[in-house]
Amino acid sequence: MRYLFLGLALAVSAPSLTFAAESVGAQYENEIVLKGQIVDIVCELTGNCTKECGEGKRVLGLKTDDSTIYLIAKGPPLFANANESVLPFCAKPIEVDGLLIKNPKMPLLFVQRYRAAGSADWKDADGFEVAWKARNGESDEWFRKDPLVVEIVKKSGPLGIPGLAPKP
Amino acid sequence: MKTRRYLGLAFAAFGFASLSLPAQAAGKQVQVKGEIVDTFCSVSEIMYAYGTAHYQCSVWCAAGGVPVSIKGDDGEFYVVLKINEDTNTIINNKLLTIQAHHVTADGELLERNGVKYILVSQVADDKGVVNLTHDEHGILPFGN
Repeated sequence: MRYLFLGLALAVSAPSLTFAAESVGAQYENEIVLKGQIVDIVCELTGNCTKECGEGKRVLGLKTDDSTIYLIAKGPPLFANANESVLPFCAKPIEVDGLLIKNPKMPLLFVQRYRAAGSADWKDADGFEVAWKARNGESDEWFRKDPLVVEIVKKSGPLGIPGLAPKP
Repeated sequence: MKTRRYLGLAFAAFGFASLSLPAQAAGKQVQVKGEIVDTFCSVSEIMYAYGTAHYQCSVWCAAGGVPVSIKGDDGEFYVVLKINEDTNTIINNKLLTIQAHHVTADGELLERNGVKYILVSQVADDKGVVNLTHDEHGILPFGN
């Protein structure tokens, strides 16, 4: 009977424990679901705060109930972060699903999906790409078409040293 | 009645202050020498992420809002939260133009939950891109 109750309890709680994170093949990756609120890390560490967690221009973190701050460093679009997706949850409850990269040098969080705390529906944390396409139009490789990137790479070359080209 | 109103305002102000001013850690003045890197690729180690081989990718990531760090010559990562007077370090023009550069940065070091953060007050020296890794690694991740 005890095991029946335990089984039922696990079955009921299972949805909130389900991971859907996709592996990136990183040595230190761990699937994780975390609840907390989005914070501006400059504000948290120095008291220098601006409205709406810096409105996407400052480094963001997820602060959990035990006051741990996880650095948010990546989102699902290639070469992009999840800031656009999670920013609306500045100081508001959010649940994120993704990978915690536990490199002994430092941990970081790759947010793949998110939902408002208590909501049943997960959303992909692909806000960067959605916003980029709205500004710049459709592209399979935003990173090669981004005006800022194009300008910098045109000046410095693909290796970062003007005039230096890769061997053919 | 007026007293009650002022008391209410005082409590509201106290509540706002406690929300907007999180506990502050004491920082330490440091000088860090190292390479400006894309935090995700270098910390996750999903690819070789240094020097000329990874220069273009680091520009892509900085333009995509991935935090920028200094990989110190001491082997530690320092996540950049401020550059000169600017705390807007996400998609920051200054940081975008010094990707993969070897720099000497003066600033304040703060640590939280296993991450070293640096508020850079000045880049005292910038040697440009000096880590020539493309002959060995090609251009990562796509070869072009």
